[in-house]
Amino acid sequence: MLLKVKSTRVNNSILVTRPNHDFPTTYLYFWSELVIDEAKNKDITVLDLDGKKANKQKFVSYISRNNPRLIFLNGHGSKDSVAGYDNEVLLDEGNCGALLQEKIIYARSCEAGAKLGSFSIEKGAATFIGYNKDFWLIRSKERGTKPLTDPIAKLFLEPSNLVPITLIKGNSAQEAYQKSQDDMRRNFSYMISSKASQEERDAAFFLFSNYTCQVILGNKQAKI
Amino acid sequence: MDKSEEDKKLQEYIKELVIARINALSKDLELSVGGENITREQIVESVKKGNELGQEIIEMQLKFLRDVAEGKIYQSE
Repeated sequence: MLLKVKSTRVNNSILVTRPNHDFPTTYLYFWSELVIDEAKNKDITVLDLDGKKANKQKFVSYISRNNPRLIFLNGHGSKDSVAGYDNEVLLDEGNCGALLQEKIIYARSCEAGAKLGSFSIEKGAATFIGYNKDFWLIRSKERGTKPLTDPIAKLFLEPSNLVPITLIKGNSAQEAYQKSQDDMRRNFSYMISSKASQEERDAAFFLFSNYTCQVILGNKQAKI
Repeated sequence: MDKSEEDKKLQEYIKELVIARINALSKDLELSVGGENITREQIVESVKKGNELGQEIIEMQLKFLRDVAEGKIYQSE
């Protein structure tokens, strides 16, 4: 099926998908709120597909009607798709060409940087930042009900939030990627140091994996 | 022992090493990958089977240990 997307110019609004159907997505849901706050502080319009609103019908219609410059995806992913609420596929090779023209995409999900990312660029997206292997999130058992107070998750989600936050501040995609990489490296150095707790040391390997697998594709100078 | 046997033994040794590291993870941690929970047992099983996730973890563990040992992370600070 061909998707018809209105030919309105891309604007500096951002679209965020943040399902919350289980613990891991709930963490991403809460941590994405910090990005939304930052955008609102900068008077950037936020199209917030939160919870059950992170479904394919709304995803397609919001992009078609509003043409946001930045699309920030949270949720389950694979080499050729990214999902929303209850793992419904929102974006795949069938619709990315029509939906992602001139857009900057950040997919905080597994593997989408491996194939969907380069496919999206071929089809006209400006930039794709994501992970070409698994995106790991390690959480503290104790803080499950309060994701924003979880000191272990913070080591993973603060650096990943820096991608959209740096873009929102008017910097280029390359600067956003680099800031995120630098922050992961800083956290990683701390986590393998003697100052770290046992839990932080144990989680270090998984942050290293995210650091190694984060990729930027397409136009590195793109800005919102 | 011929080379293929040596390689096989080395692979097994690496698998055991990675499994030991996974099993030693603090029980106070919850793991999730790409928005889905995963248990230590599932990771260990993947490493034993050598499926895509297992292979990825083995490769990443080796790179991790190598980079830490060589101080690469610190160098780039």
